[in-house]
Amino acid sequence: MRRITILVFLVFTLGLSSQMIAQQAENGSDLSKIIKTSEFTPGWAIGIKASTFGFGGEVIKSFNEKFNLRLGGSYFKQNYDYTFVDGLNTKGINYSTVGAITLITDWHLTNWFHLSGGVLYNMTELEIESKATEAHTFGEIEVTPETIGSIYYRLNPNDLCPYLGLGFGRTISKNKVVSFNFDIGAVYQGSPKVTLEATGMVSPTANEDQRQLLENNVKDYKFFPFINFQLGFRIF
Amino acid sequence: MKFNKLISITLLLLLTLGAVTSLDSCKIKNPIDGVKLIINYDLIKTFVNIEFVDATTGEMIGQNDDTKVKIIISGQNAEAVLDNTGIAKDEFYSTNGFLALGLNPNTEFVPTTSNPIKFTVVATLDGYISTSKTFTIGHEGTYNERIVMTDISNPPSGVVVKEEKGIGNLLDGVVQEEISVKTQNDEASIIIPGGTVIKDGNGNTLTGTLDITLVYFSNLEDASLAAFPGGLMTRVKQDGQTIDGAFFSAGFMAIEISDQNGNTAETFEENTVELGMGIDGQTYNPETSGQIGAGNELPLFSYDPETGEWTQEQIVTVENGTRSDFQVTAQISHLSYWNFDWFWSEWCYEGIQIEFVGDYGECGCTQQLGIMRKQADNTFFSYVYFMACEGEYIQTYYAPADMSVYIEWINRPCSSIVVDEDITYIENLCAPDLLQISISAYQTNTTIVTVDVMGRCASNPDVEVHPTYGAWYRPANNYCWQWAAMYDGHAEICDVVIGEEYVIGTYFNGQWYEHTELVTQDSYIFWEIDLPEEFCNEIF
Repeated sequence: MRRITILVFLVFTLGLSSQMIAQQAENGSDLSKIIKTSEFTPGWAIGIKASTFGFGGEVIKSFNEKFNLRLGGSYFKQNYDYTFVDGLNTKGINYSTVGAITLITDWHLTNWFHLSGGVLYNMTELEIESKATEAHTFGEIEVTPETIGSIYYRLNPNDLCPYLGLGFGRTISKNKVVSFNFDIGAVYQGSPKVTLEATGMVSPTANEDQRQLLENNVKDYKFFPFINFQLGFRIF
Repeated sequence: MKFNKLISITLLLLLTLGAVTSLDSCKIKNPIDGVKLIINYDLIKTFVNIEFVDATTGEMIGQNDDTKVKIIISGQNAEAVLDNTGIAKDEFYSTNGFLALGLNPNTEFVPTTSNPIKFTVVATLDGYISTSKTFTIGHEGTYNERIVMTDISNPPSGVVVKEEKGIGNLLDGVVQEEISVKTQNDEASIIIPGGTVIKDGNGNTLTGTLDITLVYFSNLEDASLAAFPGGLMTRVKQDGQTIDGAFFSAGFMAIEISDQNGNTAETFEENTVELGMGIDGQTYNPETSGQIGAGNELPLFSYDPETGEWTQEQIVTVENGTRSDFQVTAQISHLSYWNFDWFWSEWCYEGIQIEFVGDYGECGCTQQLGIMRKQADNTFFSYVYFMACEGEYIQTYYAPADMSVYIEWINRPCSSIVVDEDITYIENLCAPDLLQISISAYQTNTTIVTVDVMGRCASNPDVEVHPTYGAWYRPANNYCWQWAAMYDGHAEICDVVIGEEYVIGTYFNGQWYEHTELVTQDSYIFWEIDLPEEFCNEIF
C-alpha cells in the first residue's frame, strides 16, 4: 500500500510537470529563452528512462552547472515460466518485479561526465510459484494439482538502498531542451529476505531450515547493477 | 590538473565498483542450491496390514530367513488393492512375515458402509497349505490382520497330515486299481476307484505313480481353526451368489495329488472319488442349535485356491460313525480343499461399538489382541485386533448377526497395557450398544519415542519423501511386534521400556526396513531409508 501511494505521488508529480510544460509551450515564454541562451541556466526538466529497474520518468532540478537533483520512479513486471524444482510435472511461474523510487544527485566533473549518488526506495521483488499444471499419477493413484500443491518463493531486497555510479551525458541540458544521459553503477540492496510457502503434498518443503538455506544462498546478492538510459526535456 | 583529477576519481570509482562486483560475483550461488523438495506421501487413506504366522510355531513366516509368502488379490474389488505405496501388482510378497496393502484412494474405491470394498487375500507358500482371508471394508482407516498358515511338515495341534508317495499306478491317465489313503486315526480318507481318469488343470492325464497328501483340520482345536484356510469369517458362493458370513465347521480336508512328473490333479472322470471324514460328537450344529446328530444335513464347500472363495457343492447327511462319533461321505469330481460346514449368512453392516476405558499409560492408543470364540460351542472363531484410542469408540462392521461370542484377551509380553478382565462376553455382535472394556497400564518405566522417517530416492537425492504407513516395533529380544501409526513420516512409539533395545520395522513397496535403538528417557530417532527404485520411478 505504501509503495502504491508513492507511485501515485510520482505519477501525479510527473503529470503536473507535463502540464506545466504544455502551458509554458503555449505561452512561448521561458522555453524560447532557454533555447536561445548559450549560458547555463538553472532549471527543471523531466525525463523518461529505461533502466534495470524498469521504465519510468524523472523530475530533474539543476542547481548549478555541476549539481543536479533528480526524483524519479520506474517499474516493470514480467511473468515467465521457470522450473523451480524438477519432478512432479511441475511448472514454475516467475513474477519478476523491478522498480524503484529514486532520489539521485549528479556531480558533473565535466560537461558530459558525472558522478551520481543517492538513495532508492526499492520495489524489486522476485516471486516464483511452482505448481503442478496437470493431474499426476502415482502408481495407480490419480492426484490432482491441488493435492500436489504449490511452492511459493519470494525474494525481497532492502527497501531503502544507497546508489553510487557514473554518468555520461546530462540529465538536464545546460542550455537546450533535450538531453541524453547514461548511468552505470550499483545499488546496495543488502542481503535479500526470502519468503517460502508451500501447500499440499509439498507443504513440508517450506520449513524454516529450507528458508534459511535459500536466504543464505542469496546473502551475497547485495549489489544490484544499475544501468540507465535517459532522455531529458528541460521545462524551465 | 583538472584532467588528472577527473581521471583519478574515475579510475578510483571504477576500481571500487569493479572490486565490489567481482568479489560479490565470486560468492554468488544458485539461489536454490541445496534446496530439497519434501513430499508428504499421504495419498492412501486405507491400509491393510497383514502378519503371516506359522500355525505351529507362532512365529512370523520369514522372520529368520528370506521366506516370502506369495499373495494374490481376488474378488469383487480386487483392482482397488494396491501396494502401500500406491503401485498395483499382480502378485505381492510378504517380507519378514509382513505385508502392507493400501486401497486406491480414487473416488470409485473409497469405502463406505453402503458401498464396501470387498476382496480376498490369497496366500500361497511352498510346503504350506494355501489359505486366504476375505475383507469387507466399509470405511477408511487402518486394518491389522493375521493370517495363520499351516506347514505341512510341521502341522499344529488338530491338523493331521498323511503323505503317501509313489502309490497306485496310472496307465494313460486311468487308475488301474483302487487307491485309498486315510489319516493315521482315520479322521479323513479318500478313495479313488479303479478306472478313474485323473487330469490336471490343462486337461492332461496324470501317469505313473501318485504322491498324495491328505490333511485333516479338526473343528474343535484352536490351532487348527486358526489355520483354517480362508478363516471362519468368510465369503461363499451359494446358488450363484456371493454371500458374506461365518462358518460353523464340522471339519476340513485338504488334498493334493500329483504324479511322478509333477503334474497336479484337478479333475476326475469316469468315476467319482469318495471323501470320508469323521466328526466329533461335540460339534455344534447351528441349524438345530444343538450338538450334531445322525440325519443332520451338512453342506460341503469346495475351495478355489486362486480366488480364495468357497463354493457350496452339495449337502451330505451325517451318519453314525465307526471312525468317530459321526461321519460323512461325499462323492466328488474335482480336487480342492473340502469343507464340511454350516454357513451362517446373517450379518449386519454396523455392529456393536467398543470403547476401551481406563489407564492408557503414556499412550494415546493401544493395540489389544484377543481370540473370539462362539459361545454356542466355545470354539475358536477369529483373532481380533483392536486399535483402541483414548476417548474414542471402535465401530465394528460386517459382524455376524445374532451370534453370541466372547473374547479371550491375550496379554502380549511386550505390552504393559492390558485388559482388566480375562474374558469379555458379547451377546450380540450386531447390538446397537456401546460396550466399555477396562484397561490398565502396569509398567512405570516406559516412555514415548518420536520417530521421524525420511525416504530418499538414489535417483533423485534432492527429494525427500515423508511416508505415511504403518511402523512396527518390538523389544530386540522378543518378536511380539506392536503396530504404530505413521503419518507424514512421523510416528510415536509408546509403551517402550527405558534401557531396553527396540527394533523398529516398516514395510514399503515389498521391502522391509529395520532400525535398532536403545531407548533412553530422551530417545529420538531420525530414520533415513533408501526408497525402492520402483517407487522412485513412479514419482519421477
